[in-house]
Amino acid sequence: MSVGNNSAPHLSGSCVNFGLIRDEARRELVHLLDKCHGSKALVWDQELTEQFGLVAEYSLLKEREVDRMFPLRTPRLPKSSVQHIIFVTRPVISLMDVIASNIRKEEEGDGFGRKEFHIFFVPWKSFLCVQKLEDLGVYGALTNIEDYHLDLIALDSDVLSMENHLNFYDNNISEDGTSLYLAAKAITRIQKQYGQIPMIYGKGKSCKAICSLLQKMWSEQGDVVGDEHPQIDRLLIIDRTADLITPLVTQLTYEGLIDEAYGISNTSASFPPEKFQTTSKSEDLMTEKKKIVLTSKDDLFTILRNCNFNAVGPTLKKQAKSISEKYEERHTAKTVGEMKQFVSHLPQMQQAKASLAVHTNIAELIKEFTDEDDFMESLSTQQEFLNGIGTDKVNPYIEDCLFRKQPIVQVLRLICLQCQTNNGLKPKVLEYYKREIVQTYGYKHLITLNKLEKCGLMCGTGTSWNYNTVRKSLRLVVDDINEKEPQDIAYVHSGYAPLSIRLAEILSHPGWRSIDEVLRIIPGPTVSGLQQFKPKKKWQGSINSEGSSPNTVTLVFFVGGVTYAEVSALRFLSAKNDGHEYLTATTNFVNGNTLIQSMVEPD
Amino acid sequence: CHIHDSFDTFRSDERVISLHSALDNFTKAKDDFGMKMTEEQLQLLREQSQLEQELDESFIEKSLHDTICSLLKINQLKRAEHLRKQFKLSDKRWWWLRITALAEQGNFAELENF
Repeated sequence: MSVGNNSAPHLSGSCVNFGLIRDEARRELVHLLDKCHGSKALVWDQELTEQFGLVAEYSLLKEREVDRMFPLRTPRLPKSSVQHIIFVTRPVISLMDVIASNIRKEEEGDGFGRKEFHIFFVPWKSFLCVQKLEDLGVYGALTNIEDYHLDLIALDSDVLSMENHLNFYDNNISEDGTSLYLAAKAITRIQKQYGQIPMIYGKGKSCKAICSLLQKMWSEQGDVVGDEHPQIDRLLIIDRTADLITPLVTQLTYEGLIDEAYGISNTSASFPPEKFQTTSKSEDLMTEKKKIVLTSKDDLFTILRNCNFNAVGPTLKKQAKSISEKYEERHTAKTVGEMKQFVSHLPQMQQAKASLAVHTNIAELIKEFTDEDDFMESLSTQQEFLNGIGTDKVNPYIEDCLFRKQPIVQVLRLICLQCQTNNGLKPKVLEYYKREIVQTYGYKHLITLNKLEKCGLMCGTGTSWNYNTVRKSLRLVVDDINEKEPQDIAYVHSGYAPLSIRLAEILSHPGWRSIDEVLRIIPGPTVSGLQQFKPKKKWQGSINSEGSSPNTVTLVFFVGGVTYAEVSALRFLSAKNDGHEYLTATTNFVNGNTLIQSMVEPD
Repeated sequence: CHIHDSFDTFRSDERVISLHSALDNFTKAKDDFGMKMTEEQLQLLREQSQLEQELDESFIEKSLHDTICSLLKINQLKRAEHLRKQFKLSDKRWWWLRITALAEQGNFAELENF
């Protein structure tokens, strides 16, 4: 049986083949499943099901005799006649209770004979969970307890994600080092696959710690293959705390806006179904949300995703025109040969047409979202702040939002942005906001405010950070931006260039030495050029079997999350074709809403 | 730290006791803002329980904003004014609340009077 990558060719389209990461994850899964001979049922921690979908499709599981799949929940499992029950779960204590009660119920017996129980922990088993299972008295009933190291998932040909959504919170609020350890492990996995990365750079709180973990892990590995040609030349670690502004600014790329409005998780987003009703079946109402997969598998989306939303309309129009032109070709086809050629293109054209319809619908939904008054007002408030206008006093629009009791996340997002662009707020202003928030949303949000201050999103004056200096010397605000034919990464926010990506751009050219002063202002330590080893010179022009490119390849690893707009900006830099290519790896995806939501006390 | 400990328990039935211990901790930590907010919260709880006795409506768990909002909706202008003074509500917020409440009631005659 092959566990090859045939089913996911869209992962291998980049200068480094990320499909290999998926292959390895599949191999490990099959190996684990094969440890249990006979028919199996998988019981899923629901958080993991979507992630698994990106690694292994059902047919692969079926080949390994997985007959049934259940969601993990109380009180008990549905009846089945399988020999093995395998729980696939994150190492979360509360889930251990659910597993234990499931096992007990199952052991009380039904008519189907004895079953064996197993647990696969993703991405690793924690000592506390094992302890908990012992305390609950089910440890003895388990045949196998395994780790399944699914710590890195290839979301696209140029994006790897750990899909660890708690990373920012763990790092900055709970101060739990586990997430850093896992991040270092993930990077080590990349290095094992693609060769040790010669140079490491980094900015922000955790980069030093990760660097030392990396070196330790690499030396513990023993048989190091150092002389191979590394496929990645540089690693740039960016801790989210070094650039808190970017996620707070609304993303204005197509993919970014989809994420802001509907939320993208594990490469797909759910939309309200009304737009997607097919006319033929308009009788039966679709009540379920329409789920659409958004990856480079879809040719049209590959173009659209990185566009500023203002350029999406024209692009869709152009696409529509080119499809109808192709259809027209059938009239000019005269010979049998030409007809045959036309027919052979048909399936492709139909697919293009379907995808065009889907994206026209999505674009309409996004248009509605961006046309709302609050969206426009919030955007212009953001632009003012980014230009350093009126950041030092209470903002009237924020006040309005408070008094109208708009969603708390929306209000906090603007206040945090004001904090960042004003180098912290004056005590009077900050206290006013805080008091108004408690009065509007309730006393419990004192905790929310505390957390925001702890991670630095909200702060008073007295930090070394100076937005205006950084803005000027790194050209974060670009005035004449052409959204349709962008010249600068600032197009992703219609005029604001993400600080994180500007750092990556400058690292490639002219180098960080030129911005020493600025790097000192940006929070957190700097790692500027840690040489792991000296690589042999690359053979220019000769493409070896592993397909390494003559370009300098930089892997940017974001600790604490990356936005879709930032990924688009990196793609824009790669497409410039100036000898530098960029790949993204991240602990997870964030936007201003998800970042702040994780701090907000639940109702 | 102390503050977080007391936060975690303030949900319980003994919320007044927990709030007092939170107040203690804020004082120890010299967190003036936290102290002030906690004092106000205690005061709000007192007002709310009194309101619940007088009126047939639930106010517990509501923020100051929501409390005044519900008072206005059931035409308890006097009591709302009382809270406004007690908590030194900004004028802007007060008028926003008044207008929103009137609009929701569909009381356009009164709105015209502004």
